[in-house]
Amino acid sequence: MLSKLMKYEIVRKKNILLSSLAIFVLTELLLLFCLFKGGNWLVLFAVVAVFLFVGVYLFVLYDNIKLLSDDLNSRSGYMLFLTPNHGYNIVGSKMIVGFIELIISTILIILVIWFNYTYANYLFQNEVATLIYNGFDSIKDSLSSMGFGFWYYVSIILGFVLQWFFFITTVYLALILRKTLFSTVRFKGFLSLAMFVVLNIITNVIIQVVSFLAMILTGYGDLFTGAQEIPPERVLPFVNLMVTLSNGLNLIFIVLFF
Amino acid sequence: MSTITIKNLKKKFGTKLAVNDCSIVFEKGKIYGLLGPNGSGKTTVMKMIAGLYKPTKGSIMINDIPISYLSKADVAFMSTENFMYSHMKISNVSEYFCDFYMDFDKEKFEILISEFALEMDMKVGELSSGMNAKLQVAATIARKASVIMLDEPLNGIDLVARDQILNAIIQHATEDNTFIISSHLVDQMEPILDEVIFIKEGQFIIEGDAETLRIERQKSIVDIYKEVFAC
Repeated sequence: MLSKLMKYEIVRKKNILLSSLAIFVLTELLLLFCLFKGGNWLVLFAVVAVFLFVGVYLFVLYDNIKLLSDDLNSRSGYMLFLTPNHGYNIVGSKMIVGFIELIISTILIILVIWFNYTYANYLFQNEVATLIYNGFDSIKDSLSSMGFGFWYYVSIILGFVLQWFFFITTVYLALILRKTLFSTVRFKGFLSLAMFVVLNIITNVIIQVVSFLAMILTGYGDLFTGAQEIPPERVLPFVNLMVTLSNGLNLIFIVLFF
Repeated sequence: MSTITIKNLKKKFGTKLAVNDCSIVFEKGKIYGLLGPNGSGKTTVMKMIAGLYKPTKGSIMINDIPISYLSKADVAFMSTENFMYSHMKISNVSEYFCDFYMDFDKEKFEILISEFALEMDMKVGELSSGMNAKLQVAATIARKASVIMLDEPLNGIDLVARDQILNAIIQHATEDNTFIISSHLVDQMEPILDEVIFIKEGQFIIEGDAETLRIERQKSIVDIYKEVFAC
């Protein structure tokens, strides 16, 4: 049933996704044109690139929220809510479809960066490549020297994914409460928004406090006692602890609010 | 045999009491008319049976199972609002119902679509309100569900189509299912109803066998309706 629900979510979004893809391609063509012209056009390139990247993620976020709010607030929602599907399946299918959308958008962004980089490289005879490689290498070297390895990057990516799911879960929780528990309350929209904000603040405070306490208990403070210079490799275990704790707590909150 | 058992059902929207302490048993093989003026609570009762609204108090059992997402497999409900996805073609609606309802009879649906002068490649968003109502009726009664509920199925429908819908209801009412139909058009509905329930201000005020009521009161259901709701 989950796969069928996902199928119809994707079919419903077909037109809006195709239109968004067309806008994305047109914007990329504009970026390539700016690169081709060079000079002052590169300023426009930078501005449009920022708008494109920010716009893509804002669109994905908006579209994810709209996935549920449309069904909750329009008559066509009956088409979905009359089916013999558990509420968890319905909400879960929307979250998975939204996540797939996020992954595809990220792949598209990476492709655009790579394509623009290659084109710029071709136009400016390796000047861009040298500049980017040098910057990238210096960041990579300093992270490697501190001991940041493969699993650290995996846990950072996992952290972003969990943050995304946490955010969407709290938005969905607020939307559903607006239509159920607060449905007869006068300021239901304001109440659900306030609840969403408060939930985010409380959970963030909990994550910060727990991480801070864990670091104190495991001796993070001792690093600074009388030390002239702290070796980077001594900081790493604490960073790992913080990331792991943050990911774990986010996972607990996602399950709790779902 | 009973299909739906309702006990002390209550539904409040804020301070407004929409349904107040209703109890009734719906039996198999009968067509029930849920009759009452606007705002009397007909749609609220139906939406609670369909699992769209949660009762404030009381219980609803469908085939001895409490209302849940599972009971939705036994209940076919046509809302009075146009709820079909506008981006779909009628053929997509058929596919959608096939995917989600085990009891959906695709052939029966196609026959009904043809009888209602609709075509499978028509787009839902481009249908008139009357055509949309016919599509919703076809999709609902093409299910072999034990409970079939139609909320105002004759609203916005021309005279010819009304007869088509009433005939379709008669044809698909069997010994194994219960039809519940709400309507303002009591005169149109009267000939097909086995049982009637008059609902006023959220309460079932008269319920019983249509023929018995007619004999007892020496009046048609339409006249009883006028008598009850005129004051």
